[in-house]
Amino acid sequence: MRYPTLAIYTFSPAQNLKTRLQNLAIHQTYSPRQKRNMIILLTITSLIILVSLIGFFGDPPKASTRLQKAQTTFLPTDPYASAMVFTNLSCWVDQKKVCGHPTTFNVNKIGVIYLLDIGLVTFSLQPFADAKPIGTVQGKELALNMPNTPLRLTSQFDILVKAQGKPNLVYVKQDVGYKIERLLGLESEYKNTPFRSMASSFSGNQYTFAISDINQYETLYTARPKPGLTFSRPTIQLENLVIPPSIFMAPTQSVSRNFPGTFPIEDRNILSLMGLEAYGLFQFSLHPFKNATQSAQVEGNRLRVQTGVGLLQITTSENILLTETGTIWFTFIPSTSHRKDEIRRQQATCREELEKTPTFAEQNCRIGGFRMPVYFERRKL
Amino acid sequence: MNAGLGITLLYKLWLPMLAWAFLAWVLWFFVQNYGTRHPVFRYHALRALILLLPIGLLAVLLIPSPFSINRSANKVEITSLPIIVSPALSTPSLPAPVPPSPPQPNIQNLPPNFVWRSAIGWSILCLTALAIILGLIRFAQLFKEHYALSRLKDNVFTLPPDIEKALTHALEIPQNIVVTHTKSVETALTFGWPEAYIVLPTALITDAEALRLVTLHELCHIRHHDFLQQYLLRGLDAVFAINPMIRYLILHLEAERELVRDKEVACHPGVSPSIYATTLYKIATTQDNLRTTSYT
Repeated sequence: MRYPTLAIYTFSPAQNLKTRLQNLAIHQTYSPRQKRNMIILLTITSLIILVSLIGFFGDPPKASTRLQKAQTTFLPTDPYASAMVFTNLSCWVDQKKVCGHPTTFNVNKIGVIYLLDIGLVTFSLQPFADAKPIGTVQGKELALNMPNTPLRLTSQFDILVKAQGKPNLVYVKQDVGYKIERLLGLESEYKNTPFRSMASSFSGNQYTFAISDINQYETLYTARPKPGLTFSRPTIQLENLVIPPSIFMAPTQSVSRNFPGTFPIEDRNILSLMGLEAYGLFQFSLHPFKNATQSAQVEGNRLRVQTGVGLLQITTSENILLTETGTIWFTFIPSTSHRKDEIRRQQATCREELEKTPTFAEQNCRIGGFRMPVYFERRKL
Repeated sequence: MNAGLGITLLYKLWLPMLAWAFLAWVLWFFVQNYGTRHPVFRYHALRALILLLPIGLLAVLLIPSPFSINRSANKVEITSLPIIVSPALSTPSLPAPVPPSPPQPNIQNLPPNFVWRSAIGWSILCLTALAIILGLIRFAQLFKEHYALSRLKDNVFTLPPDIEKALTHALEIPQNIVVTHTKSVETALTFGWPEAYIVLPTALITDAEALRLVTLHELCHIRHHDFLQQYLLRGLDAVFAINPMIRYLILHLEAERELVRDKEVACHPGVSPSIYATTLYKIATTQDNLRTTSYT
């Protein structure tokens, strides 16, 4: 008969008869003191082991620490590379939190990533020559048609997408180099953002992040081609006066040909005013030409240009990111002294009219030289 | 599933399990060789070591590591290493822009540690799958054993009530105990919880003293709920089937348990250790044909 081994037998061949008989022969008693000591010893031992287990294996190591080595090895060689690790993110599928781990998660399983408290974040997908667009920008959400689950990356700040890329690879770049003061003018846009949160987000060093498929990441192109920069539907604002694009916006190419300016403007240097979304994320930096605009500031999606005739503010409906990769130079065309004087006079007239009859201002102030298109040009190396 | 899950399993399951196996082996080595020779100590030490595995894994899973680095409550959990960004705006030595064509994807710079990380992750996943398969096989065996015991209940004969009462009265146990006998077994055994069965060899009934001692031994098992423990240990063995250390410890635990129960019987009033030893010897020598496949 085959005995069920689950039962407890008085004696089985697997047991050592000699040991059992010796055990009976040893008349060692088990005193309460021994028992108490034994329990104490076992408890201490167990606690030590338990704490050791928790302490040393509680969490997988932060991938960022490992990535640091990789970052230092390849990132400095490529100023455009923005691939790294996204940390401390929460991943959500609908209302369910599916991941909260700082380092690793499956991007295919992620529904929504809330980027609150992270600061200004830009996204780009790896641009491949033969890739197809997989992501769209919807307000401040980046919707990606991932292979399995739609991925939404949510940020309280600007998002730009390089609309081409490897389907399950998203690169994210965070720039927390902005000062909080510069955002104060954007309260209406970010009124739901706690100030403290915003302030904490916009301080500290600059970091680079990326969402990658688990533990893989790729560098972006070591030197990727730069798409043209475009502003779509820009508006020009003179102090509190906003001039809609329908008034001043002219066909760019034709204007460029008809307006030579003080330096040669070639068609390839003039950026069309078509949608920025066609190019996705574009990193650029502003730099005044030697005979052009004096300074510029970026605040959120507004580009403020300090011209010789006043504070010109250009607002686009698309996102503007000012990054550290200073490859774009820009100028404001009315830079000759003759035009400046003319604009200054018209501006003064506008201000007077504006003070008297605000509704009249738009009709008159638009003559004040602000219909000139804004040109951008790549830096010539 | 992907490599990341494998990495998580590595840190949440496999590494703690390996650590437990190593520590358990070391502790058990010292207990065996340098500890007390009293079986009770070894028995409790083994129980603690075995229980430490599921409790420790649960703790690792549920309790955040107090020694984890780079942990903060709300702030962005970024390493403190500032990324070396591209040159500043005014820096004239900007990298030359790359001509627009031909745009070649450059993905060759995968760091080797990430390739390895991915490979390790997938390996861990495969290992986990193997562990699950082994566990399922072990669970199937457990259910088979359970079924065999339920069949054994149908092929036994109960003792007369007065004899049964006299035997079970030796220890006051609140559990319902059924003492039976059958010719199909050559050694006494017990199973069942909370209703316990003691199955005695029919040949043993004629030897009153042996019957009393053997029944006393089985009653000790029942009093300490050893069958329930046996069941749980088998379940644990199935869950961690891929870990040989737990089976090794369970084997030793079961052997030590018999020694502890022997000791308990020997210390019982009216029991002579020498007679009990003689009884054990008789039982052992009369079951040459008994070949169990089990731990006990």
